[in-house]
Amino acid sequence: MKQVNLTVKRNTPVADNVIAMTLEGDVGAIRCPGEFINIKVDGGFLRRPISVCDVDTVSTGTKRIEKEAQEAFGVSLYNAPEIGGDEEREVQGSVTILYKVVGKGTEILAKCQKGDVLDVLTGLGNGFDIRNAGDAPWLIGGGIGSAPMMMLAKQLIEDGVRPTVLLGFRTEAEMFLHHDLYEIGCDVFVATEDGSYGRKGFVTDLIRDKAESLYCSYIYACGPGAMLKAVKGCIRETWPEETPGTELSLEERMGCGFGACMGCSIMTVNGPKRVCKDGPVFKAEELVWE
Amino acid sequence: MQINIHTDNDINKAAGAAAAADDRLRVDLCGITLDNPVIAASGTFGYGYEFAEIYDINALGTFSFKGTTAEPRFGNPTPRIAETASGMLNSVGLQNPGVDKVIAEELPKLKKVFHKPVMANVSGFSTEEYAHVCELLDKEEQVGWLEVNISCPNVHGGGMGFGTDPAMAAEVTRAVKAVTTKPVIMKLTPNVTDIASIAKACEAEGADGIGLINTLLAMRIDLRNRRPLLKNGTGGMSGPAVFPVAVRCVYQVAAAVNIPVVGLGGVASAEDVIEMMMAGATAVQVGAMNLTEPCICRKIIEELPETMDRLKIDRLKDIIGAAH
Ligand SMILES: Cc1cc2nc3c(=O)[nH]c(=O)nc-3n(C[C@H](O)[C@H](O)[C@H](O)COP(=O)(O)OP(=O)(O)OC[C@H]3O[C@@H](n4cnc5c(N)ncnc54)[C@H](O)[C@@H]3O)c2cc1C
Ligand SMILES: Cc1cc2nc3c(=O)[nH]c(=O)nc-3n(C[C@H](O)[C@H](O)[C@H](O)COP(=O)(O)O)c2cc1C
Ligand code: FES
Repeated sequence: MKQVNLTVKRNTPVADNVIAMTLEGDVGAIRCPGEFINIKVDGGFLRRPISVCDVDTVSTGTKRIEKEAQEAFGVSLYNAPEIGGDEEREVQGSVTILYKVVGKGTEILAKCQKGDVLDVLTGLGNGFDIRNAGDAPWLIGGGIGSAPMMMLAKQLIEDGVRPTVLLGFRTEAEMFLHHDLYEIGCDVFVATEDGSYGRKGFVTDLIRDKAESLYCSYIYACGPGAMLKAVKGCIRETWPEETPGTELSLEERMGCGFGACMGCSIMTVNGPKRVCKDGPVFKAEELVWE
Repeated sequence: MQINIHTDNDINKAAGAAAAADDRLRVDLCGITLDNPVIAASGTFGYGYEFAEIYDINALGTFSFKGTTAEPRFGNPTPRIAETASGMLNSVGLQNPGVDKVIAEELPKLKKVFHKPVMANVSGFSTEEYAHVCELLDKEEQVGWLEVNISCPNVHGGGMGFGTDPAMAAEVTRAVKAVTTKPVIMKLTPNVTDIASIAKACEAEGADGIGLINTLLAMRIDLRNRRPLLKNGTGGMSGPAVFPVAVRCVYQVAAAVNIPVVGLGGVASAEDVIEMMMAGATAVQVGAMNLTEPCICRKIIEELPETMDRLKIDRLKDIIGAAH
């Protein structure tokens, strides 16, 4: 974790009620996809947690070296908690987030102008583990939960795999990121609830469709709780024999976002875990909900 | 490169100035010296590790770790955090791994990053539970003080809070004092009519100090689904919004007892620390602010000397209770 001041470089709508904000400054503490940042907004007491959509300087090369070290020596530096580590690592760059305006805090964020400075905690959470991807990973996003898939897809592509991305939105006007993901080299499929674009239905319908023709080595998913539950169930039904490994990114109301208050705890098969620190990404089999 | 050559005289002068500076902030809390009066409050500082990632937590006077019960507890269902103007509500419900695990796992881990006596926050749902947990923590060398949170409901007393009745508060104090040698600080809830009477009851049973305030009982409602925002319904409110309530409580209790008072509730700045001390606090805790400004305690400690200069305060211990 590192507390930094980041400068707003861009804050523009990319779809109905969805805004992309790019922040410039020291992003050295952001290590892996699925992490989030916690933003102080004027007039709010608690910070607002928002997923990292993309970072422009994190070297995916480091991740690959770590992966090789893991395979060769059975040790990993990846995701390892480091005391004092983030403080020393300064890397100038930018981080992009995508957010939906839903209340007071996100309304204030939406009013930010280019050049405004935000107080941000970076390098929060335990993100997706790209070492598990295999050769045909599927990335599943629902609504605003699609945001973290950008950084994840980029790292997988750097690693030499071509991800299949399945996205679910309510309607065409709320779609975002599908073009960007396609442009960097993903196979992208979209479902909309009203059928205004792509397949009519939910992202779970897409899973069932694509499973008939495409191989899936591993699944990464992020979206609203109800969607994640449905996705978990759908994966088990679709591949009853060899269920692909699945990582799900959860959301919970947060006090601190860095593990101090126990505000965000969930019960797992391994006991209580903090969504902000032990998660937000969890292995599907670790979660107790059905 | 710049080379600094010091004469012995310079070094002595510097050491003398440092010692004097230290003495400006130093206070004594129930027989244990604190380098400064700033203590991170229970439930907002975990076991310290998260903060140790971003600053040296040995800068603190000390901190109070998460409320510990006899058995592991998950706490209440989520959502258990809500926001309010200048503050927050929580209904965490004392999530903790249980006293055995705290002793076996958390304390040894803490030893690596924190080298001062720590404050052990104890909760319970029966008098026996408080005594049992205190007895175990009392044996731990790292523990300096036992901070007994009596805001919990008494399962044998129809769920009424221990801290809302002088007789029950006295009973817990007596039970805890009987099994411990360390200083016992009774931490009071503000959700009572006459907080001084509770403090006096604790003092009469031998409490070594009084800590206050815990959170204020509160509620927020989600306008869209017309239900309380917190799954638990109610939660405890804290943060800068409660500061004046806390100052009032500390003032009233300090006037009523002759044992040290630890003041907390909404503290967010060096000025707030000084205000609490003038109201009668010997030491001051910082809670909710740690969650939104993780370096707040360090910042407050750094700003204290300058603030004292401005207010013409020589040593903090001289202003304890100055407002009375
Ligand atoms: C790990 C994580 C990652 C997230 N990533 C994104 C993202 O990439 N894009 C995005 O648009 N949103 C994301 N969210 C949700 C986002 O945090 C909330 O939508 C936002 O905090 C709402 O703030 P508000 O002030 O506009 O709403 P209000 O309803 O006014 O907020 C009041 C309080 O409730 C909290 N809150 C409200 N809704 C949520 C929620 N769904 N989850 C957690 N806390 C909430 C707020 O943080 C605040 O403390 C994420 C949440 C988490 C926990
Ligand atoms: C998330 C959270 C958890 C808390 N947990 C405890 C606890 O376990 N034991 C306790 O005595 N007080 C607990 N408290 C109360 C605080 O220690 C403190 O008394 C209160 O929040 C008022 O101080 P503040 O306004 O500075 O936060 C908790 C407070 C918060 C916000
Ligand atoms: S939000 Fe504080 S522990 Fe997760």
